[in-house]
Amino acid sequence: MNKESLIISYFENNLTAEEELFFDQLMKSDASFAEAVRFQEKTKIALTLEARDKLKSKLQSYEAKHKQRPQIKKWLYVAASIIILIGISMFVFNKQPTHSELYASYFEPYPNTVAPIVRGGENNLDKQEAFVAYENGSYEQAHVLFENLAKDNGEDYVFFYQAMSAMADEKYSEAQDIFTSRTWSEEYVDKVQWYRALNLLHLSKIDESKSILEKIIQSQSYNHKRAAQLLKELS
Amino acid sequence: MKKTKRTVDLLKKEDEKTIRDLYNKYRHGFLLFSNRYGLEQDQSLDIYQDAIIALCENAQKGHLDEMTSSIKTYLFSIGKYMIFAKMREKKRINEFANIEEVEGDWIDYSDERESEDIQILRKSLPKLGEKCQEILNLFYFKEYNLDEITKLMKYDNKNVAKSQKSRCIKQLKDIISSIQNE
Repeated sequence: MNKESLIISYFENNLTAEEELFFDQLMKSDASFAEAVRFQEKTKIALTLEARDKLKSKLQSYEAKHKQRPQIKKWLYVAASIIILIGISMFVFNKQPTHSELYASYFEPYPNTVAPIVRGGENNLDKQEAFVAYENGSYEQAHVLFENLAKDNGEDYVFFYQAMSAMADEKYSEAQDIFTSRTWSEEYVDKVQWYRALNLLHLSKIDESKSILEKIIQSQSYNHKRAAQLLKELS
Repeated sequence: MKKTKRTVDLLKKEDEKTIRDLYNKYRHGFLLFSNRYGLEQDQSLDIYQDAIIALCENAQKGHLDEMTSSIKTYLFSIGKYMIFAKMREKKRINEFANIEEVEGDWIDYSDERESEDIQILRKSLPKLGEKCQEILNLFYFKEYNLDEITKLMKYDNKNVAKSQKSRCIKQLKDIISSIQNE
């Protein structure tokens, strides 16, 4: 096979194992061969970026239409909102949401950012299993699995997701114990504050919850905007 | 399944209505999805657009021909991969997150934008004749092989396509030299 055909097969992703070996050899020993390959690789990148930018600007033009839409129909939204507001206020006149209702509308288990569920490749099966249960919403099971994991693994993420699973499984006191049982690393400390404040609502420790929310707002940490909103609803 | 195949076929043809409809159909769901990761809306939209681009690109390359999942699942999984990459960039993600192992099927070349060679190439490519632009685009970007190009561009045989491609690469080099000598 001549050099040009070899380069073609390389770009066609079609090299046999033997050709691949020869290809790698030439890349090291034959400067003009290596230069030709690199030039074509750069051509590939340039063509790809060109095509991506063209499509991106098309998508941005669709996006611009999304952003225009609310303005055109703004009055409609305003009118609808007023009607809905009147309806709701007539319906729940004087009725404040309970703390459990507030909890329910604010609580969302923190997403799995530790171990993306992957096809194969994961050697820590217990960890994988716990996160699969967690992502599938089987919180009772996830709670047990993280609890087991915590016995040999003292890392923050294990305890954090154990607490998340406990909250989602309505085991609020257990979650509270986990939150207060350790000194959290920088990565988790802010998130723990937010979830602890929410969890306290369920334990009817409203003043404690409020004071944590105030701290979150003051330090502008994780979810501080939602904390401000929640605090407003609590007062 | 039939519907997925039909959509993939239309994406291969770069059908504009299909792309626009897809974009609008999953936009809201994707924003809700990425919201869980605490990204700003502008960042989420940027990632969503890149995920749509990856979807179209991989459809064109034939990577989705044997796809068993739905378009939505594919789009969201590639989007999730991009969200993780973004979070890793911002170091907001636990170092345990081994995102290399996630099937991304996408190479992000954004870092290459600054490269001088790439910029000169991007300036030179549009100066090629239409036929050359087409053949290089098919071979390098859409990853068609020479047999497919021969058929598509109605060349007599594979050798014609091969020498045409190599002539186009030579022309491209000439254009670059003339730009560099300006």
